[in-house]
Order: sequence, then C-alpha cells, then structure tokens
Amino acid sequence: MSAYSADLELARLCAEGDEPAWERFVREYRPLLYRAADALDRTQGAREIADSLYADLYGIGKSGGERQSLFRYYQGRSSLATWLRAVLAQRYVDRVRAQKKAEPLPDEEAAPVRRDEHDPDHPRYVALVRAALGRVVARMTARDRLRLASYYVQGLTLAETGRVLHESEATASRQLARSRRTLRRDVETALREDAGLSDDQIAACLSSVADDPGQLDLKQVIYE
Amino acid sequence: MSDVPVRLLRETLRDDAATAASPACLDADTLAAWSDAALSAADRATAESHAANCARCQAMLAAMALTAPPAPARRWWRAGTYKWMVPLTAAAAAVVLWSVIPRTPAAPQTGAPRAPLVVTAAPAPPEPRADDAATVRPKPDSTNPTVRQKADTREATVRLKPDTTETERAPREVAAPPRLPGATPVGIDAFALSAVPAAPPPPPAPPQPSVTAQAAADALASRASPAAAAGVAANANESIQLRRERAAALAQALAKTSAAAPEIVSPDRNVRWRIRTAGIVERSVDAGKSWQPQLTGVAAPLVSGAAPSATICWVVGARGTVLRSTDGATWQRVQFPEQTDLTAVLASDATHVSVTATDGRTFTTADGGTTWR
Repeated sequence: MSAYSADLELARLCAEGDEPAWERFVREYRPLLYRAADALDRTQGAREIADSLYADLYGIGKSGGERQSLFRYYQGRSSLATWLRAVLAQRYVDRVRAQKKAEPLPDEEAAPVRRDEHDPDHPRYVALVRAALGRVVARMTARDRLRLASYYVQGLTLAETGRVLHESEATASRQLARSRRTLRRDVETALREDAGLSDDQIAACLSSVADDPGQLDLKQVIYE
Repeated sequence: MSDVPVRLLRETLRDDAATAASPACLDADTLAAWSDAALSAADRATAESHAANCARCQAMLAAMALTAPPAPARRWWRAGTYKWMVPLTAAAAAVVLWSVIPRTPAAPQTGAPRAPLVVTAAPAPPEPRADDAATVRPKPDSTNPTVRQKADTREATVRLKPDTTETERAPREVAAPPRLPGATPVGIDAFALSAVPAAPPPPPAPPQPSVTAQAAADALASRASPAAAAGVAANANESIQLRRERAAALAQALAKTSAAAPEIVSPDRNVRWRIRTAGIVERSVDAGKSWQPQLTGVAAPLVSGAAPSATICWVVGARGTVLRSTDGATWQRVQFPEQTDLTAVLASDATHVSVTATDGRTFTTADGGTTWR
C-alpha cells in the first residue's frame, strides 16, 4: 500500500469530479501552491501558472466531453503536495526557458572571461583551460556534476544545493570544496601532461584565466 | 589558495548540459519522488545521471529546492526561533523546582546560613487550596515567596534570597498552580504565573502571606502536642507531593505561554497578524518586528485565524464569530448560522473558508460566508 494512499484517494476523487473532494483539495492545497509559486517568483508572476494548474487538475477544456484531469498522472510515488510542486516547477521552468529563447543573453553571459590586451597568451590559455575543464568535468561522477551545476549554474545556496541531493548543507559545502580541489588538481595535471606546460606556465595560465574580481568571486571569498 | 576559474567552470558545466527537453527528462512524478526521497537507488542513479547533463532538469530540481518547505530539523537552532526552547526551559525549571523541594521535615542545620530558593511572581495571590490553608498560613511572613514573570515572559525567574536569620529561614516554596484548564490564548501579562485558582477565584482577602507548609508544621509543632505535631508533619509531607504537582503545572503553564498570541503568517512572511484580547487584532508588515493594532468591532474572544494572502485574513472566535479582512486593514463580520464557539479556520482566499467548531463540526463556505454548509 502506498504511503500516500490518502493523497491518492483524494486525487482519484478529484479526477472523478467529486465536488467535496475538490473543495477539500482547493482548501488545503491552494495556499501551498501559491507559496511555491511565490518562492519561484517573488513578484507573484508564477501565480498565474498555479492558477492555470487548476483548470488542468479539474479537467475542464478537454475535447470529447470526458474530463481528463491532470490528477490521473499522480501515481502516489510522492506526496500530493510535492507532486503539485513538481508540476508547477516543470511548467515554470519551461515557461522561463521559452521566454529566454526570445531574449538576448544578458551581458554577463556574453562577456568574455577576461580581456587582457597585454597578455598575448590569454586566448590560448583560455582555450587550454576550457578544454581541460571539459575533460575533467566529464570524468566526474554525475552526483558531483549535479552538485556543481546546482551551485554554480543554478545559483542555489549551499542549503538548497544540499536539498537537491538530500544531503546537509555542511556536506554540500564539503563536497563542493572537494570537487574544486579535484578540479584544480586535475586541470593542472591535464595542462602539464596533455598541453605540455611547465609549472611556471601552468601558474601563468591559471593566473591569466582567473576570474575578474566581482560577484563571481564572492562565493569563494565567503565559503573558502 | 588559487581555485578553479569559476566563470570558466560555469560555462563548461552549462555547455556540457543538454539544453533541449528530451523524453528522458524527469517527469513530474519522478521529480516529486526525487524530492521526497522516494526513488529507488537504481532510479535515483538513473535520474542523477540524466540531470547531471540536462539543463532543463537541473532547473526543475533547483525550482523544487526553492519551493521546498523549510526543514523543521534545521530551524530550531536558528536565531529568532528560540520559542521552541521554551518547553525545554519549562521542563528544566520543573526539574530545578522538584529538586529543591525538601523531602523530609526540616532538620536543624549547621554551618553558614543558606538562602532558600524563591520563585518570584507578581502579584502573589493567596494560596487557593483550602486544604493547604490550615497549614500554610499560620502567621504573616515577610519572606513570602512570590512568583514573578520576567519582562520577556519566556522563563520564570529563580533567584536566591538571603534569609534574615537562620531560625526564620523558610523551606523552599514552589509556585502555586497557574491557571491551566480552559485557558485561552491571552496576553502574557494576563497569564502571569501567579497563584490564580482554577475556579472560582478567591474573594479578596486581607494580605495574608503564605509560608511554606514545612514552616507551618514547624510552627504548630512547637506549640502543640507531639501527636498533633506528627499529624501536621504528615500533612506537610502531603504538601510536598502537592508542590511537585504544582511544579509540573508550572512547567505546563510556561510551555503554554509560548503558544499565547499565536501569529497568523501570510504567504508573504513579512505580513502577519496576531490575536489580542478584547477583539483587537494586530498586524505586522515587517515579520513581527512591529505591530499595529486593528479594531475588529467585536467583543467575543477571538481564537484562531488564517491568512491566505498578504491582504486577506480570516479570524474566528467564540459565539460564531467569523471576521474577514480583505484589505489587510479593516475587518468585517461575516454572518454565521450558529452561535457555536469556533476554534479553527482554514482559508484559501477571500471566499473559500472552512471553520471548525468546538464540537468538531466543520462549516464551509465558498462564497465568502453568504452560504455555509
């Protein structure tokens, strides 16, 4: 028996159009959905997605005269509340991705790593490090890559990163620090063995591609 | 000291991740099961393997992390959430009080004068128990122990008060039981840990400070027959048990103070309400740092509330009182079909509300209170 049998039963009743069940669902889950929507978009921009969910959950607007409620996709592998958050997250991400396709990249994304007119080797160093990083990252475990992506690409906090991987904030911090050390070591090794750079050249290379001071370095300053 | 170049790392991670949605992307069911840690080890490995290379799934997992309710296990030690500690403090206070209760009649003591433990409270009404009265109030005593609540009302103050003389030293006194049964959430001041009887309140009496039962036993024993003294001593021993019960009651009461004036937090956590006495509700727009009183226009005790948004709040109370604010500032009484006492309310917006009565019945409206079912 599912641990979420009560949720499954509520979903089943709602999918069948049981009015008391639907009222109960709205009463209990609407605040939750709104809270989740507001967490995604503090300007309440995600609330319309939450509202639109109700139509699909209720099953209106379907052709053929038969209600096709979104509830029928709920299989009880999680709580109904978590499933609703997942549906909301899915729709929100897809909407944001669709919007971004139509928008130019922000300045930060398009900016070069560093413009050092006085370092003729800079473009080569960038290419070398980028290639080395690509190889090293590809060798990492999926879990480590996901942790790095959650923190550095998605911009989650350490606690949120840990939540993605079901580990504590402290563990996420330790694992990220370990990954960074591994990356650094393996990139240096790759530069030495694959690109044939000497220790001095490796130091110059990494110094050349070091990030500009700014917000990107703040995390390092804070968490190192 | 140098670390990896973060910008290049971000670009590498981003470039390596597939940007387009694919059939292998996590569906909502899998995403939810991941979030609830309900995936099998194999499913989880598969999902992690895909998500590590999929920008869309990474974004969805990030969205799940952002919308996850706060983990209660982490909250208790955070600053500002020390309310959780109040029951523990109360329990500790009970243990301290229990431990200082004398277990045998006071015996002559030698050595340096020792200060008796005094639990202070203000004001200190007379002892309510009639069976205590005979033994507890033999004479006025300037060292009457009182129970006082600190300004922050979170913990009882226990202090040592030096005796005037060794012979006048009274054994330790435990606070009388505070009001417990049927206590409604009221202001802390009204819930002072004084010896208020459960019911009915004692008539005003001339000040008659109480001393401990042990002192009473000693005093009576000094002028009564040995048999009578033995009876009084037995009586005193009985009062020890009574004091222990009171210590437990005190702990319970202290724990209850943390629940006084419960806050009704809206989805915008900066905006919240709290119920005060005499039909007054207070609203805060800065997460409880400051409060602005609002008059509801009713006199019935208000008990519970729900705020489905930053401007909408429902409050229910005794005798069928249902109040609603749709602008966050003013209150309207919503008609309710019965004069029953209401104890809880669940609201999803300005029109969909469910209230619970003391007898367990639930009333629901979907039209803002025009009709109830």
